[in-house]
Amino acid sequence: MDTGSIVMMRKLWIMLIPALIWTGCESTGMEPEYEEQLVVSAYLRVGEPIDSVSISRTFTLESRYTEEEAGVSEARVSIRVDDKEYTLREYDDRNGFYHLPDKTVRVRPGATYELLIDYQEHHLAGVTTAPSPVNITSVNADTLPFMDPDRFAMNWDKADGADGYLVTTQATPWPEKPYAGRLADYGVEGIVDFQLAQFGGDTLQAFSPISQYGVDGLEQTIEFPWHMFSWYGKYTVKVYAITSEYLDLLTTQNQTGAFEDPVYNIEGGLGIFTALSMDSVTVVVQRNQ
Amino acid sequence: MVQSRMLSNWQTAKWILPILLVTGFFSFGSSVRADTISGFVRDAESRETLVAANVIIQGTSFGAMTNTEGYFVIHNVPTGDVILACTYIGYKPYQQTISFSGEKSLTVEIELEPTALQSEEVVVEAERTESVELVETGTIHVTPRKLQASPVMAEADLMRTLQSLPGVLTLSEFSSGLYVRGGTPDQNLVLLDGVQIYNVNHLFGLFSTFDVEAIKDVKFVRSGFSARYGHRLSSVLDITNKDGNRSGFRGKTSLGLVSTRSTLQGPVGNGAWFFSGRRTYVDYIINGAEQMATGATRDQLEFIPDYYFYDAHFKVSQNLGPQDKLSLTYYSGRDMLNYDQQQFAFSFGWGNQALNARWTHLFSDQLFSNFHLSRSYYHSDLDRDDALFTGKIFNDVADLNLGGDFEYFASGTQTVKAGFEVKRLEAQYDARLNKQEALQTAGSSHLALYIQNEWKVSPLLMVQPGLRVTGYFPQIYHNSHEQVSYQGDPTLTVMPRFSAKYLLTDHMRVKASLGRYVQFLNIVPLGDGNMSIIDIWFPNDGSLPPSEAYHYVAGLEGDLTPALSWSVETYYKTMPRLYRLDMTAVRVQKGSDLFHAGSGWAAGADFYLEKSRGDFTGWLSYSLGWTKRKFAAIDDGREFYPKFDRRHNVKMVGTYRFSDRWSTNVAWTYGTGQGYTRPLGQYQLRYPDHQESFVVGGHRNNARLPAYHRLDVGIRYSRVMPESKWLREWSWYLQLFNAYNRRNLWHKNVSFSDNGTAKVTEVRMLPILPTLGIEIAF
Repeated sequence: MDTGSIVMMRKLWIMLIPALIWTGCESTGMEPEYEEQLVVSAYLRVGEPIDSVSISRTFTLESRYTEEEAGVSEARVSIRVDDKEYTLREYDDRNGFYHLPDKTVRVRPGATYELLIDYQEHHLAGVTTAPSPVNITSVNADTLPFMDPDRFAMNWDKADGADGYLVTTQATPWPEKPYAGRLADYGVEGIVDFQLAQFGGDTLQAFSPISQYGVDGLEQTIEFPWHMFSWYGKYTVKVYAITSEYLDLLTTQNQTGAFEDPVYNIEGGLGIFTALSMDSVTVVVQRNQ
Repeated sequence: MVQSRMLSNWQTAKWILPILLVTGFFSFGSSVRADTISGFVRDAESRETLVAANVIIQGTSFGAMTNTEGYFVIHNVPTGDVILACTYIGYKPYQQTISFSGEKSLTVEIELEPTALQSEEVVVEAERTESVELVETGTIHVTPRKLQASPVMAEADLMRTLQSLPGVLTLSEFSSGLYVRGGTPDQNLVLLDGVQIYNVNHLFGLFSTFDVEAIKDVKFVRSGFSARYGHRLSSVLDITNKDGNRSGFRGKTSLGLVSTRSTLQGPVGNGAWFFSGRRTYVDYIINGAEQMATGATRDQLEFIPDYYFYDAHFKVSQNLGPQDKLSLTYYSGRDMLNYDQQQFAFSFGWGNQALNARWTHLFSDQLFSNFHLSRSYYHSDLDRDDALFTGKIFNDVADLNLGGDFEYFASGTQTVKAGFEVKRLEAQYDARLNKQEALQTAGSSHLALYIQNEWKVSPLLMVQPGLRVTGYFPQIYHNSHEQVSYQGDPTLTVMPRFSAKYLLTDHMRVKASLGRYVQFLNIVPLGDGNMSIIDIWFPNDGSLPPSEAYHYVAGLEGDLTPALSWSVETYYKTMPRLYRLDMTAVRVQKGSDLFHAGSGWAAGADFYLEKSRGDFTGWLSYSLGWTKRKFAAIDDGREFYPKFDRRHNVKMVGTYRFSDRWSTNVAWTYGTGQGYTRPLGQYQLRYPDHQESFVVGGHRNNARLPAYHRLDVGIRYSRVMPESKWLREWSWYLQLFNAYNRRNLWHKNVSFSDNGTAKVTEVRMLPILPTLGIEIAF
């Protein structure tokens, strides 16, 4: 290599090395700090009193989360509708749960509700518009043999103001806890506990955004495959007419490794404030003889 | 009215312009210079053409580098006796004295003898030519020799070799996707014999779809790529596969820990054919063990999913005359994962198919051309039907492409390249849940023209201005649910490109490049952010402007010795328009309903030192880089580091040949920690019927994982069998992946127990992994 190249390279390294050291050092102020936030879970059911507003707080990862300690008491909670403001009171026996004592005030379809919460330095707000009631118009059976190839089908009227429908099946005691013996019949032990843990013990849900149905016509419909009824027993099948904020939550609730918050509609905090209407039917799943 | 006229003009132009281009160049091709030497460079044994071989007239500054077909042209050849020299890594230097009269141009065929030993003392004046001739910045040629020299995990792999180069990062050991200078894998243009390949992963990214035994040359341009390439924002991986041995039948079989592969090749007519196939056999082993096992062991084995992948490549080429060559290439590869228990059953498959017909024609000694007609097809499907869930997701991408490339060796100082491309792209995405379906289809047509001039302005300065123009015509976007159709507007995009190189001294050069890049294809990765399970490709439907990037690159390169080269490159990329899927999109009527727009940038410097000859060969690289993204829907619109941002990266790869039979290889990789979102807290959200626990995350990727480092070592024994009639060579190798068993951290998970406690689990990458294999060449 010639002398000119050697000299030039030396000059370059003299310039580069300090630049590398300076630019390559990371700043140490990147580590985020934990800050307590408030979490709102507030649901207005069309035709029902306002009785389901809960406020809780976040915990550190190292803490043990309990509902009792999480509940936020003595918050100022109010709901505004039609230029009237109603102040909610906390339940005597449930930390962080608030309701409107006046049970004559019912959630009206088409009305827009604003939730306001003040607690210490926290100021939270959310808005929702109630959909119309949803009515199940027909079901094809009220008793089903287990694992029957015929599917459970249910139809309901379209609800005005709804952006989607959420359908759930929930096993209820009949007369005792759901008999989760199906899989044991097939000699597979252990899987039952897994399933119960997966689905919160007894609830499965199927999610049906409105865009997946024809916009023409009044009827909405769903056919359940037999595996939505994983246990013998009595089931309550519910259909909820939901609005956009609940739809956003349901589509974004699965946190990835980035721990992104689901899409919430609470300003100043986390959580959901939404109005929905609901209808339900009962179906009994019988054990095959 | 204006739009319809524009559309009409472009629809007419897309047919007229290629015709004009062809006839225009045909008229150029009729002028022939008399002071040129041209020809092909081939492997003396197989007669395969050699890409990027260096040919010079000794004692002069006149030389050239062979193109992808092994063709070169040297202008201004002095009359009289001249020494034509040629060198190529892995081959003995070639010299021939030629009496050149200058009355007419001369065509030669240069054949190089392969050699296993590369002496450092060989004077290789011609070696400089490659670095000097290459005006494009960020370009590295990866030869089969380099591929074989790189340490392997289970078998030699192209993508893993590229991951050891500067400026290239990976997300994890479970990914073969390339994150090049701040770009993402979907932004890399991957060409296999000129056909675009959409998915390069086998085994969820542990291996790539490219069989190294079939590869002849790889051109990897990390940024600032020329006008010849389009459709992507970040980098170009241009792979040329072998044509086949024209001298005699050859075969090679290798048996590794994961798969077995065979290559067969031989002469046919006035050309050759080549076949390579690879398949895993883990599924056969598991199934066989299941049949032999009983009781609990059998039950446990039944829980292991059936998985296999295969790929097959076939190529046949024929010389139709001294000026014409026709080749046909077919590639097929597929991964299949099946799991079937009563309560949980799914199948997951993905793969590529590509077919390419290519006509190479020499209009004259100075005008070289390639025409191709190709079809590339990518399909993925995820199908689940069990006690808990019935659903299906599938994605199809069909790419039909007609194109032509012209290379006009106008003079000793100018080579003009130009070409056209007409592409038809159709994609379909279908998601079914029970009886509900979301079907979306989109199509588009592209017309692209490019021209670039490699111009040696003076003996010291070379420039390469270029221009690429793309007409994009989205077809109807269709959503079957709502029976929505959307017709986007056509788009005309102009992309200037420029590269320059200046010789500071005989052994040092400064270079720079800049350019504008656009991409009309969006990708929707389905995974958890740490691992991409499936990628959904969807063309831009015209409701959104295309993704866009600008590259600015500057650097120095040089040769410390003929065997020791180095380079330093700095880059800055700005990406003013990127897209991300909107997870809340439900009523999708067009693309702008489905994607968020955002932006990003990347900057850094790559240092590279390579020793290419002698008993010890290898390279050392250091990369310093930053990249950031910004989307309104992420972290309240704050700028954040994506997961693939790593500040410092050091890579060392070396091969030492003890003798003609024994060699050892080592690779060490070090990288400072990737970004991750630190879980800060927990909370519960109450739903109407149940409760769910959630993690409170910090700002996106605002914390760093520990540094990553890994050592791979290996040893190889090869023996040539000149006495044997059938067995030419056999070898075995033993590799240790992650030799000191460092369990590098991949990501963190948080799980919640019923008693309200949260548990942070660290998920680690691969442990020490021995692998061995044997190869037989016949």
